[in-house]
Amino acid sequence: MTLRQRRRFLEVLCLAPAVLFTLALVAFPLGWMIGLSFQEYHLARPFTRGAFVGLGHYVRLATDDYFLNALRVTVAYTVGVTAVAFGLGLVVALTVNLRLPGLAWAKTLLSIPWALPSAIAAIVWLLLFQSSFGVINYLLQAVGLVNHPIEWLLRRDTSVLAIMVVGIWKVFPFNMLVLLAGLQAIPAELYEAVAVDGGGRTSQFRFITWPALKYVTTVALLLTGVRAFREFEQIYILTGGGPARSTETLGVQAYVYAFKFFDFGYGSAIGVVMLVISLASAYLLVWAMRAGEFY
Amino acid sequence: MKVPFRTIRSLLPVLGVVFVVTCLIAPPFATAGQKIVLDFPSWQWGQPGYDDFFKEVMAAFVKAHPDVEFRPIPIPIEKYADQLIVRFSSGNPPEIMQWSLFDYHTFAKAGWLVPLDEKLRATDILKTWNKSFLNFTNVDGVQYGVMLSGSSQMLFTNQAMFKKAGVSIPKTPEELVEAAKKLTVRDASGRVTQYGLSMTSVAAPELWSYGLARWVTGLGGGITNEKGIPTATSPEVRRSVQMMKDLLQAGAIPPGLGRIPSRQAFWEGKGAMLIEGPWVMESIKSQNPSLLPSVQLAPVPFPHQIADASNGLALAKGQKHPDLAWEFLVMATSPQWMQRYGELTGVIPGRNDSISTKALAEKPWLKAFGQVAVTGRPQTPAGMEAAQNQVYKAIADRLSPYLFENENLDTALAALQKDLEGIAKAMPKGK
Amino acid sequence: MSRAGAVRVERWVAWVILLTIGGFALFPIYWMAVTSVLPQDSIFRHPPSFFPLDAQVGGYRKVLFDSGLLRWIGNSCLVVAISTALSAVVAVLAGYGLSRFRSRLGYAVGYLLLASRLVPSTLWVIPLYLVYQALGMLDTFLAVILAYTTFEIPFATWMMKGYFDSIPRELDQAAQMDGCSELSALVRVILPVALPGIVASLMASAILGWSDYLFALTFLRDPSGWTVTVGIQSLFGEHVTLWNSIMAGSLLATLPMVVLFLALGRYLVSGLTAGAVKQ
Repeated sequence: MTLRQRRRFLEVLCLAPAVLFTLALVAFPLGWMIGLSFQEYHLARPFTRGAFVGLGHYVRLATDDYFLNALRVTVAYTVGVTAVAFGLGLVVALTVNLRLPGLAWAKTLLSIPWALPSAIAAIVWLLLFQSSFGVINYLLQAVGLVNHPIEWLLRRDTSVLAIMVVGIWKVFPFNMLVLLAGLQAIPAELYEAVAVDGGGRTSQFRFITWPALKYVTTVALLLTGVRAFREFEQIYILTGGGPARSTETLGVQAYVYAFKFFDFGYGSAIGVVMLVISLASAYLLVWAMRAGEFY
Repeated sequence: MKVPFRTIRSLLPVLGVVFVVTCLIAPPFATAGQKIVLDFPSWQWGQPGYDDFFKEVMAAFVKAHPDVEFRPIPIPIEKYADQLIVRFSSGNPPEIMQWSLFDYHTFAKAGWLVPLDEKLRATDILKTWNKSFLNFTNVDGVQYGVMLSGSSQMLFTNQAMFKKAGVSIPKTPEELVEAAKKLTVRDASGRVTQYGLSMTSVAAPELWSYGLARWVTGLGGGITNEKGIPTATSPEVRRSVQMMKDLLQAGAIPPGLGRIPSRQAFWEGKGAMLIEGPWVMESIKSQNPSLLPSVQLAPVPFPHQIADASNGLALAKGQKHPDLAWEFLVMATSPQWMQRYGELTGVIPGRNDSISTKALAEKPWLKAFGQVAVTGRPQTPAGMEAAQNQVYKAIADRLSPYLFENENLDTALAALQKDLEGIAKAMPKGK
Repeated sequence: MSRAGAVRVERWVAWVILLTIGGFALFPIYWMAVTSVLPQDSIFRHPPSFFPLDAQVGGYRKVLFDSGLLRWIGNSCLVVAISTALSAVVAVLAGYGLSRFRSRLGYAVGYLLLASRLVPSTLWVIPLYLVYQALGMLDTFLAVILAYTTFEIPFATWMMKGYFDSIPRELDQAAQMDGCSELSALVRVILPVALPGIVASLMASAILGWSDYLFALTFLRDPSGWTVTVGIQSLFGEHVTLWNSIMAGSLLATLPMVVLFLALGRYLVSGLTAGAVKQ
């Protein structure tokens, strides 16, 4: 066997399990969903089930105000949660990295939101945000910040804020851990060199920390963004997409149209749109990763 | 640094054990064997009363058919319809099918249920069943199921709070509003500690189906009329929504409560009134029995009574044992078992006059609820049941900005009417 | 400001930041603990008790002895352990392949894997159900395990690829020059270096699997096979919600993950270092 053939064989060996898995458990559901998006499949209309409608659903999507609303909400939610969770994670990572006494426990304790299952976390926050008996309103009023209870999940503006708070709460520990790992890999000598040259904390951050973090930043942003984009359970339990669809992301909308309105064809079309948008975004991010950071 | 082969070789037995364990746990949980297995998914497994009833019926059935085994499958109520959709779509319908009020029309329209008219004529059900219950299971003129229980609504009042405020039980909508306001108590800082009327107040479909719909029905209206035409701008709807806004602004209704928390607020002594069905009495008994002496029931303070069916049994098409399933249904709906149903669950059985003396002795409130079950009007949207979820969502979407923000009422109702007309137009017609 | 003074300010700022953010992160957990010891008839209290003097263990007793919580936790541990182990094997191989042999086939597989993470699982449920039904695997742990691998493998593969990318190829070459074939170079030289990264993606996979609710509910219908999330949801009755039991059970359900965190914590940190090491 030539070297080239040998390398090919090894490559196939490495990729084979993933390919088999993909074909068995990913390709079929993906294909099913894509195929369904080109068909009329409404449970209450058994006689048109399976009829081919081509791009019918997509055309309907393009002109549906609710779909465009969901797009806006999804983008706002994804960008908002990813950016703030990243920022929060960065701040905590920088703080814990200072290696001051007593901070070691912070790593584990602050990771608990990530470890709590989403469904349960959403239920707990539902209790906290409850307008009449919830503890958040109680604290806000007790401290004097507001003088009447805020209708958190009943108003459109506060509901969006609420789902983002929960989203950020859930995912910032992941960012913290990823960034902390990156920080702890930076050799101490580099910091000392800058200190010797007269640079303070800000110079250190600008010239040492930030450049070294670029790779882990992209990993953190990619994985957090992917997760936020497809978020369903957490948001649905908190608001069901309401009030008045102000928190209806694409994931929530796909579920509602499929399982509540029984239009599986349309729901699958929404799923396909989600797939296309997120694949494109992921490709762009990975391209940026490849473009700069590997040796 | 090279890892020696020895280490790798010693890992192999570990991997082998993992592999064997995986194979061992692979076999299905379903008991292999000679018995006929009847799947019975329900959200009521583990619920006191309902669980006991079904277990008793199943035990009696198994005595008559020793080769049969039931497999109860508990599913949380929010996921019940989803899970059934998955099963039916995959050609794997459950043998015993519990029919819930939430999505029943669609299951029938999807062709997933067996039409029961012929079979029902062989029983006495058509003659002895609550008439409005029979209407629920009628889709396009065909019977698809039998409702086991109903949800007649009454006004729950906390008499201790009434006496303290010097308020008497309201008998009209105006009196309801006045009483609710008088029964709202605030503490020194102005915070409400006792709400006059506890009710579902979330910005979700429950707002309608477990709250406002009752008022509208009580006033004699509905979100659609008998012909199935949307009536969002009708005076009954308008008045109910205004009443709720009025009470919310007065602080008489606690905002943001789902259907279960709204009942919980009542039995924890945070609300003076509640409009609900008979099961709340059971909940009070189990959660806060010391409240019972203060609880007094009264007819809802509206010109009409409100009564809906709650859940029942149907026959899934394409299942393996339709005859056994039908036999189970007939057994569960027989006079003796319907009496037992009332005794165990404390709700109104579908069969007329099935509230036994034993049930009445333990749960005297069943008499009043039973009467309402016969005289009450249903709150389901006539003519638009097939799009029920869409209707409820549209209502919640359009009314929330008015109730909880500053949207104008007429704008909201007009938008809702337009939405509903669109939904009605897009609905599948006929068979 | 003197150096010592600067350090003191730094320390003070650090503590303020940690306590604020820590408060934000842990307040809901604290609230779960408070609710778990409240008596069943007064969950809606005013004022809310931050330190309930009438704390009672009824909730814990009910969830530990009357429900199958321990069994659910056991089931979750079993399913998550095996699925993460399986995912790790596939992901390490595939990640290595993607990293070292940068072919079109590899990237196609990589993006296809990622695609499954980009669609909500609610749309995935019916086709997966069909697959399992066809294979006769419904109501088996294997079905849930494989379902978990559908989202663990893509996540872990991309993490492993990134981590392998940061290990210089010179290491592979050095090992081969020492007389190893490519495969044994991978197993005996690269993997030990990559061990922290493997542990990191194992942890993340475990959390993904532990959190799942939909797949466990749909594919494992028998209550004796329930995982912990499905079990806790079953405590929500049709008419009554047992808040104290639910909170008690949820807290207990999180313990295994916290224990795992504590045990693997140090690996996790160095494991996620992928790419930050500059030559």
